[in-house]
Amino acid sequence: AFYSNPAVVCLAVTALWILLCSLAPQGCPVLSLANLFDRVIQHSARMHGLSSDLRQDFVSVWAPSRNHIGRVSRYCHTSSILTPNDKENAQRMTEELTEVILKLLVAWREPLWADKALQVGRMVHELRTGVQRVAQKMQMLGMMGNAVSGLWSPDAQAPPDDGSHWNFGNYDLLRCFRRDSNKVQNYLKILKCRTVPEYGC
Amino acid sequence: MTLSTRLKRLVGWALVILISAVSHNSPPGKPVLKQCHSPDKEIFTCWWEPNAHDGEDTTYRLLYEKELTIGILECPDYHTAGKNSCFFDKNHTSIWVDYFLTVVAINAFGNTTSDVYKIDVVDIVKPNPPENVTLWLELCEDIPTIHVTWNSFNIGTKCGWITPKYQLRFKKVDSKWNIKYVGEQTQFSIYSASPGKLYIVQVQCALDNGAWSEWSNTTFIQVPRSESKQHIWILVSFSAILLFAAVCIMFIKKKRYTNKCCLFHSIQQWLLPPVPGPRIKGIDVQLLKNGRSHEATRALLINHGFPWNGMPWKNQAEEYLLVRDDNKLLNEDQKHTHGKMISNNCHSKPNINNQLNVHNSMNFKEEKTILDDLVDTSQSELVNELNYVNTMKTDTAFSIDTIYVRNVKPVENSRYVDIQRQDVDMEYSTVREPMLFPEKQNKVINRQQERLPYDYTRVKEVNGDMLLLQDPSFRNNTQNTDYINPTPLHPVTEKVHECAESLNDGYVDNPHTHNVK
Repeated sequence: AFYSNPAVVCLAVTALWILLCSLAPQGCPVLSLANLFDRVIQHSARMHGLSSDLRQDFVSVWAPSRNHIGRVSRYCHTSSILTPNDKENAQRMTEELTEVILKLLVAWREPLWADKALQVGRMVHELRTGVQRVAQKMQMLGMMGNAVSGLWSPDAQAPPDDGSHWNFGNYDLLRCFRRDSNKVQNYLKILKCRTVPEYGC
Repeated sequence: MTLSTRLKRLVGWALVILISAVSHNSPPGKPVLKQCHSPDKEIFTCWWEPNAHDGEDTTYRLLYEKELTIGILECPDYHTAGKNSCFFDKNHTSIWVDYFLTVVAINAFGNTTSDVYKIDVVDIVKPNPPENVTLWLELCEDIPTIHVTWNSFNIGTKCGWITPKYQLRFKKVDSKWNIKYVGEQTQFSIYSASPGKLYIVQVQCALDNGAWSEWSNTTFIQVPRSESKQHIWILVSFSAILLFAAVCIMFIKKKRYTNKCCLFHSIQQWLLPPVPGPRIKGIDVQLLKNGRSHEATRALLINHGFPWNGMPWKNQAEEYLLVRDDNKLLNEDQKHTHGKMISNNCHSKPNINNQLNVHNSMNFKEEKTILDDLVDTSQSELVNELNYVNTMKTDTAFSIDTIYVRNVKPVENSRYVDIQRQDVDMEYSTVREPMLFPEKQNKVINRQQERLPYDYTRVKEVNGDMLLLQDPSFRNNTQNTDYINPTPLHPVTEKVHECAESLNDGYVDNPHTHNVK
């Protein structure tokens, strides 16, 4: 019958949704954006938790007295990405924050992907996809300009590096990843509170 | 070692000790950095511990290096956090950056540097305990509830910089602590608090994934005794007295009337009257006892008619295979329901029939179906019996699919089993309204659906084109000679006609009449 045609049903639902959302512009799209944010934040929390466990396991075996490990601290391969290191700076950025998050996630795909045993590689990829969706939605809602669009494509290149991350001992990799995953989680929370503050901030 | 060498050593040590004891002219001992904490992920403080032997004139300086920063920096504030501490304010605090701290102890004779202490501020977050923990009591229908609230951690929460989470612990005096995770809320309720007890409550908080703070100051609350409980006791005791009085009165009354019987029997008779014996209407027990049974039964017959309407078996007009506990009944009913069994020729379910017939001569266990036996005995030949032809699927004359009896389990309150089907379009379901005729025969089906027992399997959709053929390999099976001889594959059309004919009657033939061997 006419109504059983899936295309027609889909069209009707879309039309209805558009109608409802045009009547209540504040209600519909913003709510789903908050929902998206919650999901990516949850995912980033899981990723950070996993990275902490990995590093903790490593440290407990190889470097028990980590506080006195010595002055030498190797740089992370993401050190070239400028990230806000305090609350004020982080709050000042919105668009740049999204860009930073995506850059970090893109940068971590390579070194972790190679190690299939670590499921974090997949988590990084999934999180990146989620954050891209969030960014697209924010752009759709006019909250963001087009500066970030270059990072949305799945083939976005990692920042040019000299392959130095391959020289990392596992400890450094885990240490750097733990820190960056914490950054991503925190930045996402800040972004959410800036974008949709009425939903749990 | 010669004596002189030993003596020399001894003298040397003595001199060293003497010198160090007499004068303070030595560099200070090595200080140790104890800990660093950040209460809100925006500032932090570090404390060190000087060496015990250091004099009063020793000064300490904290020097540090920062990741991504060139140069050695010195502590910006030695005083805010007290003695032997260094306070880093917002301007000097960076998160996700490694700090390499050292403390140098300096006196007139030299300086000593501690070991390098590396920290990242995000890892040293430990907040202060929550403040203003408030308790208040709510009495809801005499059930006391303690509500706890406290001030939320405000710095940095509104913008998402930190996410505080809380944990609470409470206990009655002289019992163990009860720790409850609260989450991000700043209130908690303790339900069903014990009346008349003193409760102690404490709260602590943590930021993000950081360490838990110290427990807050102890707060107490006294839960008042429940007044209503006293009322209840009065009520209970009063009613007990009343009951006792009633029993006594009863007893006294009873005693008046029954002269001989003892007290116990009289009470027993009053409390537990005897169960009346069975009595059939119309039958005089005395008559039967006297041996005049024919008179008794005549009375019965005349008065009520025979057979009764309340016959247990409703299925006089039962039209299907009955699974019973004993063979005899099955055979008898088969006789009654002549012509109402499925014909072998129809092949809609001949094999099941065959199995039933086979098992007529076997002993049934109670509550067990034939198909249960099939599964339980785990004879694969029996499983192969249930072959099924589904001609709907293909355009060719017929194709053979196989139904395997799997996961057969008796359905509660019925004596049928679930047959799980494999690869067949048909669906079997558990039996409540068994239906063995194709849906095309609507008249037939309606009648049958009304009165069927719970003893049948159900075919959801039986197409007249379908045949049930036996596995040809079965022919070679000599173990179960009670099965009917396997029939060769017949063309579809012939069977359809047979089926149609037999089905149109609304009946199918009794397999017995087909000489099942």
